[in-house]
Amino acid sequence: MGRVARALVLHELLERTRDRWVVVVSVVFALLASGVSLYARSAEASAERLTGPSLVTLVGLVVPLIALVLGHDAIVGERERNTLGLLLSLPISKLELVMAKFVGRCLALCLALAIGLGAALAFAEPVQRSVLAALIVPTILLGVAFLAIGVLVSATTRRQITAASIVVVIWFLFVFFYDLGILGVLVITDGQVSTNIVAGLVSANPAGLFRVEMMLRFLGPGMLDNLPSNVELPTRLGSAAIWAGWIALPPLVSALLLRLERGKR
Amino acid sequence: MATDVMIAASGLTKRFGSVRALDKVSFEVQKGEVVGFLGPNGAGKSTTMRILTCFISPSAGTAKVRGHDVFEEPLAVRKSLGYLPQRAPLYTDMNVYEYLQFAASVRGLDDSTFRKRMKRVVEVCGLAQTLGKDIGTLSHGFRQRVGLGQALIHDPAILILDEPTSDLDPNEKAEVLKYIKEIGQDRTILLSTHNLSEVEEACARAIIISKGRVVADGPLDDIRAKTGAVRYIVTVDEKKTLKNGGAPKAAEVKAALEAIDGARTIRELPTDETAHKFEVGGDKAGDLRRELYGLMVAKGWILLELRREAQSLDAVFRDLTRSDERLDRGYAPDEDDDSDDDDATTAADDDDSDDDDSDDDDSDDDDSDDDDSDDDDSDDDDSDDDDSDDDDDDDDDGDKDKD
Repeated sequence: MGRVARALVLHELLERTRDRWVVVVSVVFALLASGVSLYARSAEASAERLTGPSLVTLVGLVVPLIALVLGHDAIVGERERNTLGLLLSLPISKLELVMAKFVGRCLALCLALAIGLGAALAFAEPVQRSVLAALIVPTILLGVAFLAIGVLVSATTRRQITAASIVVVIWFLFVFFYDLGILGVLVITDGQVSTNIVAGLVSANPAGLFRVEMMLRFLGPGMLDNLPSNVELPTRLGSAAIWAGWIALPPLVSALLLRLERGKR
Repeated sequence: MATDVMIAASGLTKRFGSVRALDKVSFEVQKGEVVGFLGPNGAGKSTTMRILTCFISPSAGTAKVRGHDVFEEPLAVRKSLGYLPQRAPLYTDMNVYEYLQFAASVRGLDDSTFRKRMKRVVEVCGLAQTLGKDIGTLSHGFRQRVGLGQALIHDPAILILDEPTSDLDPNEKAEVLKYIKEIGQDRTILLSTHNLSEVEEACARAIIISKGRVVADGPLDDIRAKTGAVRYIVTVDEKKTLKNGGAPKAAEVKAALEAIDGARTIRELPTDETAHKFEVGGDKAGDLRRELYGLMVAKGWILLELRREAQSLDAVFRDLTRSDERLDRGYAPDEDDDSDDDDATTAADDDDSDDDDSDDDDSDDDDSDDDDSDDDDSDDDDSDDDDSDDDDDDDDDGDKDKD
């Protein structure tokens, strides 16, 4: 990454830390995570067992929203501020520009997540700490994947309000309705859909993949006892490929869209 | 061998769907020139500038900046340029110093170079008192200065300024123009505007663009002189005469002026003096001053003023671009429009005169578009994707960023 792109990354990080909305959601996430940590701690004997699933649920709900909101104005915000022209007149490629904005926001997101999980860690008993430590990387992956989706939305829209509306819809779709949709398909087809297809569909959604991976980790393979024995969850490699796809493709497509735009605007 | 041609546009054409925003635009800007890029709204100024700054690509033709092709070598082009889009692009939550520091960092300047350049930029743009202020709290004039500072921070050889004085009050305009003149002493500037007085103040040369075509290009005096008309201002005392014929009436003076051979138009002008003031239009080839003086002597009228002047740049501009306005009003374009263009064009591309007719028709039909057309790109030839969300970044409010 060249000097210009590094300067943009730094600028992006600085701008996000000044963004009041980002500060507010980070604080709210920190409060909720600390609350979960304190609640589980009060259960004493089952503290470890409560902390993991509770935080997975919290992270699964809140982090995608934080990330989508953080990413939604990456490009369209510059458009509305009339500063996109300035950025596009810089001696960097469209891909570098998008990646700089993406990376800068990733750093801001990591900072927000570090504050949240750090606060939870501060109130945790030693037995809970291993659970929290196990959550760090998957939470970042989840956040970065949704941030990438937010950036893509920002590159495809012309108004910030449109982008904001779309990311909220995406959040509902991925976090709530996606699983409901799969259940609906199962009901409609009277369970005729292959369990592997269902598992594949669940894992294709980054929010679903996160939940499956974390639940397996915290509840152990026994979690799958009620499922048919032949169900195939993604391997490590498959899982890594899914994460990589969600994280890398949206920024690449965003850069491509900006490049195509050059020919027409 | 180093070239002195800093900007070279050759046959630039840009289509937005069926709309031809630029039609074989060709011009060159030499090293050290400050060139006014004139045209009414929708003429194609911003489109040209966006092509030169690699923001959009042309549908046909080439453009080179310091010898680098804008399409083939966009990064080299961008390094050579300082660009101030219409309405300075600013991060309003930053203060001036932070913003300029950011502009320097994204231009790849290290700290020591930034400090040196900052000193010069502050001096040239008059920003010493505002460095610590939030940009959001600054007046339009100061924001433009900050925008200029941003464009200058990396000491570019070429500056492209897109309507830098739009939305400024007269005092702010005068100041920004003063800064542009100062800056222009040691670099090449292409200054887009539709304000002629700005061009007369800051530029020695102008390129006039209308309906996406260059209709005049050359030194301001040449452009004024090439339009084929001169005017005479004649002021006659309305109270006294040198003969015993009584004070002259305005109608009498007008009739006498109309009788002069070569006087094409006579128009009475308002005046505060106790005098009749007339504007007499004539051919640039002739000189009616002798006849006018002779008339005064013969009639015994007291001549208070007689002067001959080339048509004002304002009038030239209106002449050259009037078909734009006619089309905007729903009238047919002037029949002699093309011939006017040819008359006025000094260095303008000769190819334009023999463009294919069908294309001309096409562009004429569409020329009422302002640069919104750039953004209303319903189905562009050059690209597959369709962005019907038409509120483009820098064009979001009607003519804001339009030519």
